[in-house]
Amino acid sequence: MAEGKPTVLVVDDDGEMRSLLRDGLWSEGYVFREAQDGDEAFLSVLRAVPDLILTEIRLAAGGVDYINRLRAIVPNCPIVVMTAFGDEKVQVDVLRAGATAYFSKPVHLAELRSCVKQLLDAGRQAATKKVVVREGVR
Amino acid sequence: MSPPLEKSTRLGAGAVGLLTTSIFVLDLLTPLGWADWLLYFIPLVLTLQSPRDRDSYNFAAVVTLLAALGGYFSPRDIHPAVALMNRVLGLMVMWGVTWMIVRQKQARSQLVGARAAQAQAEAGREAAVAARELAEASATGAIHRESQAARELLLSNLRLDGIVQSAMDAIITSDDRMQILLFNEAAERMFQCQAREAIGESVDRFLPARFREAHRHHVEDFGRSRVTSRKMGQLGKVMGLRGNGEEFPVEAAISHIVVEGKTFYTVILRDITERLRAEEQLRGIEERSRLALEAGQLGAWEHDVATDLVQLDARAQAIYRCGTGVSLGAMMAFVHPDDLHALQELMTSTHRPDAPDARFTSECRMQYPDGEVRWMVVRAQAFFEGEGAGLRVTRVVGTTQDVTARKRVEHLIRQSEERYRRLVAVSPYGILVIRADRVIFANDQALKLFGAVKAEEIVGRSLFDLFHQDCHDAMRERASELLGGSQVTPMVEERIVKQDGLQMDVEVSSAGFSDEEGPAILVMLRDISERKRLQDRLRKTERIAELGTVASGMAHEIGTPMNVILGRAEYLMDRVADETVKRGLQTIVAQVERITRVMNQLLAFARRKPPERGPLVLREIIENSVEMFQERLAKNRVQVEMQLDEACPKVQADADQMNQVLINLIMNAIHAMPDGGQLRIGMAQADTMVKLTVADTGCGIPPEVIVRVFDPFFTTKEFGKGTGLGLTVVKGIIEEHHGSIAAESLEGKGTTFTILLPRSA
Repeated sequence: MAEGKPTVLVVDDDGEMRSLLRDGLWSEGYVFREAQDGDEAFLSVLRAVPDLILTEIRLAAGGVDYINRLRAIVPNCPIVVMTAFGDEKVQVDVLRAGATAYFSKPVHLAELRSCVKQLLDAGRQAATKKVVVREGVR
Repeated sequence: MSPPLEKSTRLGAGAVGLLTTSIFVLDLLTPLGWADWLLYFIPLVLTLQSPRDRDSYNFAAVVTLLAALGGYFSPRDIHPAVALMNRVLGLMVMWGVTWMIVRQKQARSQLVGARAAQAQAEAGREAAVAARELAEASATGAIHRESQAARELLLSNLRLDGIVQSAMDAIITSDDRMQILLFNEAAERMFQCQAREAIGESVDRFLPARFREAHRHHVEDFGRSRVTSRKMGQLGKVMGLRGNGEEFPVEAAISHIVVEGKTFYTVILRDITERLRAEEQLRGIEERSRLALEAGQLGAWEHDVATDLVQLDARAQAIYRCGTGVSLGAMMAFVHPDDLHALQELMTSTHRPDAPDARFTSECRMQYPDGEVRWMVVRAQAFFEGEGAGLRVTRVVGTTQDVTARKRVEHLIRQSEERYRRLVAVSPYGILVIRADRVIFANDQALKLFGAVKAEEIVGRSLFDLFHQDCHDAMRERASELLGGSQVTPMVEERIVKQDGLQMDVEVSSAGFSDEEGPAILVMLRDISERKRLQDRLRKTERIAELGTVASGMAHEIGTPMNVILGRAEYLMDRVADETVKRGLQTIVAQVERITRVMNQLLAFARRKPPERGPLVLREIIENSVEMFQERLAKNRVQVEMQLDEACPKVQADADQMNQVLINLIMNAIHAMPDGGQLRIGMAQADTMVKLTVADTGCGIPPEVIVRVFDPFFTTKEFGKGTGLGLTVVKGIIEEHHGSIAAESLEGKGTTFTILLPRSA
């Protein structure tokens, strides 16, 4: 974990989406790392564990397994999963696989921002995990 | 000759002898000049009475001798020459008288004989045979008395010839070698052969070849027999052969006589062609009437009114179970008591003289002692005699026919008809019978289909008036196919025009048939509008499901770009101060939210899991659903009033889906009451269903809109608020549950949704 500034790993195959997330969360003063697919994200995490992982799961080398593997190497890092129009089944599976929070795209930036902030604050104060489940835009 | 006749003749002969002797003595004793010898005339006259003509001549000869002797021995008082001359002259006179008298006598007897023969010939063939025999006998006699004058034979021949030639029947005489000796005129006509050609020919010439040998045998047998005459044909059919080769039937009698050891055969023939033909015709008529009675199983009877006796033929006796020659009452003993009176009345009615030739046809039953009842048809006609007031019925002739079998068949036909009539009446199909494009029959169901009350509204009308114009060409084609011989045409869908002008989809199957009145078409109709509606709905539902599947596939592709749009708009919104730009960005955000809602609905539809239906306490679901909206209801000042029957049975339903239904309906209600109101939810049992009502006191839905509320993508909600799928999904779910949903609305008063769900078994 870098000095003062938490590190957030953004994983999405869509460059625009990554760009949006970076810009949207920039104001919070996080350090961003990016990955385009599951393998890349894995390598990135192995190099250095981020303070939070914000990831799509419909990726090359993605899916619910990808969250499982990720959780195996970073047992305490909050993982926020976003996926386009995911249904309840996906949500349940993802949370069971170890995700900390779940969003269905499209997601309001504000909601995402507050969730990320909350998770990072909680992580900073203690190692206590809090599962946050959020619905996307209703 | 009979003894008495002989005796008288002898007595006569004695008297003549005595008288002659006395005259001779007197002549001897008296002188020559006395003419007492002339007394010989007296015995001579007496001998003329003798049947034998010869006696007269013999006596005349004796008298001549005696006169000569008397003259010679008498005392001579005159010159002997004078006396001789006297006596010669006297004897000549005596001879002359004798000759004349005998001649006259013969002529008379000839005349009498000819007349008798003529009468006999006319009397007929038998008489002719007799005459012929008589003639033959006399001829035979003549032959035997050849010593008598040959003249008699000639006369006899002439006489016979007269008979023979004038006879109506053909007469042919042949000798024992079968050569024809006599061939009369009738034979000439019959055999078309001149007598001069026939005489000397063999009889065979006039016989068909196949009969010749047999005929010869028969004739020879007959010749040997002691019978002198016989009717021919007793041993078989006798045929003749005409000159032109034609064969014809004859009736023949044959007789034979033996003269000097030679046998002569005389055949008398009659052409019976005409008679046989007439007999044949008569037999034909009799046979036909017998066959008619037989074929018609008709018993015939005849009632003699005067004696009240009825003659019945065998079949009639069997029918009436009585003998023949019984009284009318006895004949009718087994007529069914219920029919007896009517039948008697009819019988009596024919007797009335004011209606001569009265006839009747009536049905009646026979009830036999064994309990069997049979149906009869009685036809009768009365026959009258007399004139005017004296007109009296003499007899009633009738037939009786056992029609039980026919009655039975009629009964069966009636039964069958009744069965089919009922079948047609209760058939769920509308049935029409069409002849020459016109309806000639329509059953109740057909009337109902066409919205008619009376049969007259349909029957008699053209088929083309009843069906929609678009179907006419196809109908004409099918009609010509059916009338052209094809039995049944495949089922087709057509559209009828009801009495009120509305149209209705029907399924039509038709079949051609023919009866006495000609070809016709049987048309069966079934209302398929409900099925059509279901099919339409199914198609719509399928379309939505397909859309859901597509949406599901697209979700990922759309989700991220939408998120980018949304996120970018929100990001920018935080960074601009210009209100116009802000509003524009807000619009973008709102639109993305709208798309998201639509997508979510679609996905919800597409991702429906197969419902797990089971017994479900609907009340809990309702309460849970209302609970979820508690906050929003309160915010919108909506009061909730629930009337949930505690005793209401469970429904057979899927909990999640019911939840979804209620959420949709409650949401709609809330949207309908932006300024507050009352939400009433009711649940109660209705027969085998459970009725669920969700009512609001909102703005209501106009009638033209309410019919479309369940259509997909139909929404009245303000731009951006509704998806247009909520009620479609609700309806889909309810119908999947074999339930129904209906919406009623009064503008300004509110809307009520009524759901019927099947209760769980």
